[in-house]
Amino acid sequence: MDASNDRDENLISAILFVAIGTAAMIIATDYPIGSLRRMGPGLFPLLLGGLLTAVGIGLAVQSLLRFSLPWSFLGLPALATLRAMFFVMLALAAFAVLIRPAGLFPATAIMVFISTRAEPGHGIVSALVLSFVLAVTTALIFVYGIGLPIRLWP
Amino acid sequence: MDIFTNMAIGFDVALSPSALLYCLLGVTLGTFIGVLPGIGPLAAIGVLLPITFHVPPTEAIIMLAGIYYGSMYGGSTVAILLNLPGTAASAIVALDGHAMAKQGRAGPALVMTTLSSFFGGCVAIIIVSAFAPPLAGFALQFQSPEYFSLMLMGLLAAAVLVQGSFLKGIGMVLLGLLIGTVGQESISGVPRYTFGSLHLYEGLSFVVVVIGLFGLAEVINNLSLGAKRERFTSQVPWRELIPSRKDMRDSFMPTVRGTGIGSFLGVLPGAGPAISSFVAYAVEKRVAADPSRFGKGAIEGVTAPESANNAAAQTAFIPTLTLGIPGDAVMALMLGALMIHGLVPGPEIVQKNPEFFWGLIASFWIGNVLLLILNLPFIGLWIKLLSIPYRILFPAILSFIAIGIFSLHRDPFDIYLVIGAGIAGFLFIKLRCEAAPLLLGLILSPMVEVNLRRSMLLSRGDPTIFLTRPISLVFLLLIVAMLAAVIVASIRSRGAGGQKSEASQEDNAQNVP
Repeated sequence: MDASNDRDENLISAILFVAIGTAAMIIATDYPIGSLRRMGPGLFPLLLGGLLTAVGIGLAVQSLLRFSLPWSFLGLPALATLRAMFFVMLALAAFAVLIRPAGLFPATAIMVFISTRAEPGHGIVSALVLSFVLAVTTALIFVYGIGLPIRLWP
Repeated sequence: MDIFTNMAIGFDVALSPSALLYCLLGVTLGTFIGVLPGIGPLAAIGVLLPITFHVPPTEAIIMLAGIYYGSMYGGSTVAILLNLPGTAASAIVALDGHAMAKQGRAGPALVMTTLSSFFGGCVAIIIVSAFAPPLAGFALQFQSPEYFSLMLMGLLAAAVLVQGSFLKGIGMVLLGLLIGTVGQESISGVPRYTFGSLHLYEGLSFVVVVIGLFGLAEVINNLSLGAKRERFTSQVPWRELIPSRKDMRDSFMPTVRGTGIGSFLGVLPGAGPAISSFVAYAVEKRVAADPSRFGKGAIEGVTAPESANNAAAQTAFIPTLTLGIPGDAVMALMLGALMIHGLVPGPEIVQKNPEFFWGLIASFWIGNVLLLILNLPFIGLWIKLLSIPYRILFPAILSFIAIGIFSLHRDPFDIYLVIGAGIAGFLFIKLRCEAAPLLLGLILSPMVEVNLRRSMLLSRGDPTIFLTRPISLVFLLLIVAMLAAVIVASIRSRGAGGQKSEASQEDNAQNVP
């Protein structure tokens, strides 16, 4: 871990904190602020947003004081990372979409199949087998074992 | 109301067939997950959390506690055999434990680890049963200002103890507090940060945040490491299991010292198992006649930290249960789980729910015995688990995440929230912002706000109320001392040329075989 990388991480974190803190403060002004004696629903978030912004500024100043270089962190993330992220998210989203209309068994099987695409290594056959095995296992655990009231089939 | 009648109540509950079953299930699952590569205890508890919601409250917490200390046992097994520490606490154990394993003394290292953990756990359980009720009695005097200052101290301690920048730690705590305000405000009912979505009216469930930030983010991170991810070999040097008499003798005092250190540090907010194993290791190195043996297979370097982290894991329940203030992220999870089950942790829990309180404590003891039985004969079996490839493991983890989350409210929207939290968690890993302080902030947020507002109401808007009440003042002074220590340490490390970074480099070097 070289120092410049460390500083970039701090700087990005600082920007994140300031952005979220400021946004939180702006939104909080919509809620009744009240007084110190009778604090309204807006005061606590306003306080937190303000503190977060201040911490972010502090962090930014701290990291900028140590000489600045191009942001090594923002170099494009490896393709493998993007692929992993995409398929994992897609798999979960597919489950969310399918669980109501299709039931637990198909939703789990399809989710597992999509998720195996996140990484090279699974052939189609092994992915299908894994999907089937996991769908059966989870159905056994959650529906028959724990007794969750979730439909298995459409 | 002596300790024996209390423990009798406890064993009555904990020895009931259903409690025993869930305790066994918990420690087994915990060990299982502690051994599995690429899942930390936080992620493990998070992923299994929804399952426990379908179980009666006492059994659920017994099971969760079992998962927790089971995963710590499992974690040290892997750390010793393969030098793959899953947690900060087991990283310390790996230093000498793995060195022992390389010398063909993996058997004695594992057996002594199990025995010293058991010792540490047992002593700490006695401490919990002796000190928790009086502390609860003392805490009955606490009013809003005291609670507010105490929580402030806990939150700050969590921020101080993160690795790297202190400001980042504070930022993460604040972010957690802020996320905790999402949803309908408790007094006036004004919806905050819901962006007009009805799904967010009840706030962001901490389960969703935990599973996203820890479970899902870890999955993505492991996948993104790809080929760089460790490849596991099941070749374990394995000579004899039985430790020699010399091992026993050499381990006794370090185990006692480690237990003492762990029991004490476990109670402190923010300290927890990781710090206590680190401190125990440092103490042993200092009292040793020949400190140069450390890192090369000194048995004290295994038994002291191991007994310390198990002792701390038990005593950490004291503030969580009696004050409702969790010391670290795992305890915050426990607290959240308690509240979902309708058990409100706090001073009254000892009196109002004696079956639950003493049952849980008795179950700690039973869990430790079960772990002893599980660990010694089945070590070989646990090792086999390491050869499960991640490409089979992660779809299974994803299924558990998806079904577990859906089972909470049977609302697919929660899964989208998990996806969001997962992306945020992955970003935090990349930015090296530790998510644990965020979790603590998230869970304490409503309590911090309510106590702050009540205090201000009590004092008619005068903020000096926190300084004029003695107990609250003590907490604030402790906060000042903590901040002073951080500032002094950062100035000193800058002067000494970054000692901290040197130490972490040493750790990294250790992790590469």
